[in-house]
Formats: sequence, structure tokens, C-alpha cells
Amino acid sequence: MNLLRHMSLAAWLAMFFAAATALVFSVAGVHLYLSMSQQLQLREDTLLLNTIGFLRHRLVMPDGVEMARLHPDRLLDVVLGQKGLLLAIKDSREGLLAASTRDAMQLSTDAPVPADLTPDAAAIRDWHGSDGKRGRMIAAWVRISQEPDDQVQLIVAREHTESAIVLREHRNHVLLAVLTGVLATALLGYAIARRGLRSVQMVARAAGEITANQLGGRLRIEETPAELEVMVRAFNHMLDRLEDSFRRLTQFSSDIAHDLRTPIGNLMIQTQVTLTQQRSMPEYEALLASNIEEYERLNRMIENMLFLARADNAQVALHRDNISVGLELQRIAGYFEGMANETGVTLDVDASGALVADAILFRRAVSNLVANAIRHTPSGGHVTIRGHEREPGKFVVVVSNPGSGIPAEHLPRIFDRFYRADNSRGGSQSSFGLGLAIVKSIMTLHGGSVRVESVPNGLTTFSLIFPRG
Amino acid sequence: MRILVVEDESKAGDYIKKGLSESGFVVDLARTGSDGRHMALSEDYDLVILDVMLPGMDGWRVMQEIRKTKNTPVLFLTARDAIEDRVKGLELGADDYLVKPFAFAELLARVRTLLRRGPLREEEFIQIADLEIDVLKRRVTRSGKRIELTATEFSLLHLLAARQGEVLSRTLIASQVWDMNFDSDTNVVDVAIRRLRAKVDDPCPHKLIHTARGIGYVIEDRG
Repeated sequence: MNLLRHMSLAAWLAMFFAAATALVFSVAGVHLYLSMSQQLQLREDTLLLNTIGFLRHRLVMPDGVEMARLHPDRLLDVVLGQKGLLLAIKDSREGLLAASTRDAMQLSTDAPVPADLTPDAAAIRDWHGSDGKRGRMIAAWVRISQEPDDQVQLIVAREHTESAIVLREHRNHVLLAVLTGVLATALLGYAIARRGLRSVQMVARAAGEITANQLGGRLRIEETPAELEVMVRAFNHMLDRLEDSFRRLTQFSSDIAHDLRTPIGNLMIQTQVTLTQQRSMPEYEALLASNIEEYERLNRMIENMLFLARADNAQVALHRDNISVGLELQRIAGYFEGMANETGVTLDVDASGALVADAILFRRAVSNLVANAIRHTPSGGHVTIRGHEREPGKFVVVVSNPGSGIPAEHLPRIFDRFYRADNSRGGSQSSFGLGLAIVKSIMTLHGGSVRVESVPNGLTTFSLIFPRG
Repeated sequence: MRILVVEDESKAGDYIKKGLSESGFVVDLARTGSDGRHMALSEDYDLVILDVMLPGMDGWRVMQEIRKTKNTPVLFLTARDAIEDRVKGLELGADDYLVKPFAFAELLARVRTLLRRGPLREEEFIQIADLEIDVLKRRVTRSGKRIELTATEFSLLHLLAARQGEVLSRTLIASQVWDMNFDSDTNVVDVAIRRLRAKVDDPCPHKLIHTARGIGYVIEDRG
């Protein structure tokens, strides 16, 4: 079984070609053989009818009667010298008058043709002689006087000697043709299959040349046969996706390194500068407190990255609860109210209904959006937080704010980790570019999605779409 | 109050010991699991702080050994915050856990809660210098003058006052006042404190709400 599974595709194809050819040739060969043997029998039967016709004719000739009566064995002269031809002559009570050979003495049929009828093929019977001899025979009555009962029976048999040889030769030819044909198709099939599969090998070789460093390589569609085009396209698409993920991953690593550098750089500079000379107590305290801020920043960053990594591997367990959206959004608005008021921003909440979600993650996602919205709203603006069931099975939470908006070229990437539309590495209050990535992860964990629309100098709207249940 | 700290990382161990000592506890430090087990079993401690990753004998084993004969409360420290780890610790009989890295204020708060034994008695009336809080009527006065607070401001003041003298971290405040149980990088708590100060402290020369830089906030009468 193992051997079969590991056989090459070309060998498989060749084997199937050969099997198919063998089948077709055999059917054709058997058909030819049968029709040939039918033809031969027809010819022999005709000969048999001719012979018995001739014998009858011979008997009804003027000296025939006498010959039948007194010297039936003379009739045997007719068959003498004809190879494979047997003759028996019987009287009206089926008593044997003469027989050409020992086998001929045994001849008899169930349907001798009456004297006044012409023998035809229907009266011919199969004959089995001694020593496995086979052939065809026919019997007919011949009237030899005006008396109705005065008749003799002629039985003629022909052995299949000649036709058997012809048939055997024919069979051998057919067998030879079948064997050569099968062998030839197997070889040709193998060669053709190998030739046809060369493009598969080419694809494999091209695929083998693609490495992590050279994900840009693609298989060329124009060089592939039509049948492989679907596979090659799928393969190229897979490479596209891999290259994209790979690029993001590389970007992610370098972003992590870069973002870790900022707080660590701050820590090093401020500590080194402070240590260059004697400072007063309050100065040392200020340094330590400032260091703590940087440490907390690092800690939050690591925590967020861990959360994202776990969410990616679906290791975050969801504790789904029925949560009242109105209550939750009011609570979040209450949390941010002070911060919003400081910058002259108002929070408007409009929500109804309930949805099933992990309460802590729900708060985290909405909070990230609201914190961002407040940051980007000019003084006097309104941040709107809405939550409603839009259509059955679809609960949508919308956070929108006026402001300068997010340039269209940034929109597709703002949910990427560390992606920042403004590119500045903000102060300690910045969200490290992970806030929106976390929102997206939380939505993915819930089987939902997040969408963003932004009008320059108009409304920027984030929508969290939760599936029901 | 005697506390045993079992921690193999020297810097962390030393500073936990120093911090707790300065907060008024008598602290012993063990550097390995077997030392920790020996000390916990031979002396009488009111609390054991146990690191999970220890050379020789790990924290889980030490805790099992302690639990065989003693009922000393155990707070365990772990760098792994996988849920299974927490569940395992609590199932083995730990009283609380803290994930590294943690804020010292957080550790101190947990230690105090564990040592208080039993639920915190809700005081109905709290007085700090001339600040008076009537918890049931939700009335606040300063030098006899009524101060009007919003619901959030009152919860915040009540939280600080109920644990006066104790520095509360921003995370703890966010979680207790708003039930926001994740680290957000916003200045929400600072803003709320600023607003509370504007009503409670600004009118008076004698300040009660203090900032512990880099740690959190505390309310206390510093004379």
C-alpha cells in the first residue's frame, strides 16, 4: 500500500493508460475472435451442406440406387481423401450400412432431414468425436425406390481441423497485438505524463526558491499550463498574504524596539544628568518619580503587547455576560467626564438594549475609542457615544467626534500595531499606537468587527459591530 | 506584625523588606524555598509573601508544606499571569496573589487587607482634621461649611478617607470608583483628584489630599 502511495504520478498515469488500453484491446480482440469463429463456422456449414447435397445427388443417379442397395461402401469413395470428412450410411431401420472411419460408426443426429426436403443450416448439429475431435454434422434421408420406406440415411460430419488452426492463429495475433499495444501505451503514457508533469516540477522548483528573505518572488502565470493556473494563483495569493504578515511582523518588531527606546532613553538621560553632580533632596525625589512614570509606561506597553499576543493566539478567555449597554456607556462616560470637561469637550450618550459580551473587554474597547475621541476633539466639541441594535443580530456601538479627521491614506492602517497617523512619538500620555489594535483584537475575539469613517474637518466615526449572542 | 518574605531575586527582596519595614512591619527575608519553609514553620508570622519561582523548592511546594501545619495567610507573587496559575495558587490555599511587576502601594494595600482579618468595618462617620464626612447622609463639611460633591467625587473622597494615611494607586482608584479594571494610559484619575481638591482643599490653607509622586494619592492630616 505504501509502495503504491509513493509511486510517482507519471507511473500511476502510465499504469492507468496501460490498464485502459488492455481493457479496450481485449474487448475488441474478443469481439474479433468471436466474429471470426462465427464466419468460419458459417463457411464450414456451407461446405457440409454442399457435401450432403452432392451425396444425395449421387445416390439418386441411375446407378446410385444399386450402389446404395448393394455397395453402400462405394459411396465412401466420395469422402475418401478429404481430410476431416466423415460419412456413415444407415438403412431405414438405422442399421449401419457403411462408415468411413471408426468415428463415423458412431455418427447419429436427432434431426435427420426427411427425404423430400432440402437440408439447411437448421439441421446441422455439433459433433464430438473420440480424442476430443470436434466438428459439425448433418444427416439426411435419401429415397432409393418408389416405396416410401425404402430409404437410406446419410450422415456427414466435418472436423474443425482447418478452421481451428486459423482460429488459433487469429487468437495469437490478437493476443500479441493486445500485449504490444499495452506495453506501447504504458511506455508512451509514462513519457507523456512525465513531459506533462514537468510544469509541476517547475512550479515546485520555483516555490522552493522562495525564502523568508525573498518573499517577493512569484510563480509566473503565463508559463503555467491552464490546469495549474488555479493552483499557481492560489499559491501566489498565499505568498501575498504571507509577505504582508511578514512585513507587518518585521515592522512590529522594529516598532517595539523603537518604542521601548523612547522611555529607556528618557530614563538614561535624566538619571545620568542628575548623577553628574550633587543634587538637593527634592531633585532626587523628582528624578525617581519621573523614573516611575517611565517604568509605568514601559509596563503598560508590555501588558498591552502581551494582551495582543494572547488575543492573536485566542488565549484570552471571554467571560460573556448579558450587559446593559446604556448602563455601561453611561459608566464609561462618567469615567471620562472630568477629563473631557478639562478640555471643554462634552460627552453625549444615547444607548438602549443589551448585548452579550465580556464586560471588561467591552469597557476596554469603548474606553480606548472614547479616550482617543476626547484627545482629538477641539474645545467646545461634542463626543457622541451611541449603542443600539441596528438590525436583528447586529449590535453597533458608535463613538464619533468632530476634529481635523484622519487622512484617508492612514485609514486602512490605523488598526495596525504601533501605527500612528501623526507619526510623532507623543508624551507619556500617548497610547503607544496599540489602543486601536487592542480594540480590533477585542472585536475579533467577540466575532465582531470595527469600522472607521472620517471626513476631513468633519466627523470621525468608529463603529464596533457585535454579533448577537 | 511579623511578615516573612520569600523572594530569591535580591533587589526585589531587599526593597520589599525595606518598604514593608518602613511601613511599620517586622520583616524577615528568606532567599530560597527551603529556607522559607523552615522559617515559616519554626517561627510565628502573621503573613507570608511567597514568590512562585524559587530555586530548590518552588512556591507551590512551600505553600503546601506550610498549609500542612499552619494557617498563616499567604500572598503569592508571580510573573506569570496566566489564569491557570492564579487558579492553582488560590486552590492550593493562597489568600491572594499579585502579578509582577506590581506597584509597591498595591502590595502594601493587599498586605494591610490580609492582616486586617475579616471585612473592613464601614465607618459611618469619618473625621480628618476639620474635614467631616457623614457616609450615610453623604454630607461633607470642611470647617463646618457644607461642600457639594457629585456622586463620583463623593466615592473618591470616601475611598481615600476610609483608608486615610494609605497611598492609593491610580489603578486601584480607577477600579474602586469606576470599576475600570484595566490599566488605561489616561489622566482620568488625576483630573478627578484635581476637581476634588478644588472643592475640598483649595478654599483652605491646610491641605489634606497629597500626591505621592509616582505612586498615587493619599488623604491625611499632616498637621
